[in-house]
Amino acid sequence: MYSESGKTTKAPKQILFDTAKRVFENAAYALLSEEAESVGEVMGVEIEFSGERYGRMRLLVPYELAITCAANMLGEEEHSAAAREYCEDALGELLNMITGSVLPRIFGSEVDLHIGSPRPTGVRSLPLPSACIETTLCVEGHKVTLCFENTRA
Amino acid sequence: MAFNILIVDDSRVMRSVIERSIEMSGVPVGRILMAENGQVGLEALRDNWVDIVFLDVNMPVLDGIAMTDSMRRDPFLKNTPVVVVSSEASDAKKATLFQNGAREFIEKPFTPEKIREVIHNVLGIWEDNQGPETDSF
Repeated sequence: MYSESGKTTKAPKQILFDTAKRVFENAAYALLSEEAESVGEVMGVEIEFSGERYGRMRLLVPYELAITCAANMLGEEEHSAAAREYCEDALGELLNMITGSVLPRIFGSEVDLHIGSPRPTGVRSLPLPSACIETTLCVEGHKVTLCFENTRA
Repeated sequence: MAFNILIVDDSRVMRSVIERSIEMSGVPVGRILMAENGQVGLEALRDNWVDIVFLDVNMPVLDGIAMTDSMRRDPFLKNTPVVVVSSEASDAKKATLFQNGAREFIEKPFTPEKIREVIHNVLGIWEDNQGPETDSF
């Protein structure tokens, strides 16, 4: 359901989940699965946004899944050198798409925002700020974590 | 008739995604040119015949808005169709891009079917090479 400004009345967590699902399926050709089998090494990217709202989005993905997504997006074999070389680029682009789609749905399309470039983020156990909304998905048997943090109005 | 296409995006991965979507769309393609920013994109346009440009917005060196502005001011480039392909859907940026002459806006991610629809709309392609209906004389 949508208000006149294009802002959805769905809960933000559901917006994150639905958007991430759509992006992984349509852009990376990676499907949701019932369960995550293993974690392995994890890599993360984040994007900051600014303007009328401030905050950041963070995406944490197992390294193996990032390579799979890169291979799918590049049209390469799964463990090709190109897929390994560009897996961080692929992850950044996936978060870029998620961010660009999520923010108008949460804040409204009339809100003017600048979305920064994706950059690697350290993968470590951080205490989540109280303003952080997190959702997890199981993609191709891997656990994916997406965080949305609105730091100030 | 095959169309020459220019893809302008700073992401190697996204250039590949767009290229593959174009190839999967079924639209007859001649050459596909790639550029990693707006500056290189303008050079490609001045050196090659291009039927349609797929353009990202946020790029280093020269971004999508600046590139469309340069094209608008160039008598040889101002009529080259531009389709903006972007993750951002803010009304303000869309308005600026359309004012600069962009014909369509596609939000990432997109399907090959969407690419086909947009190319058909922008280039005025009809099915079975039929033109628009005309009055008989």
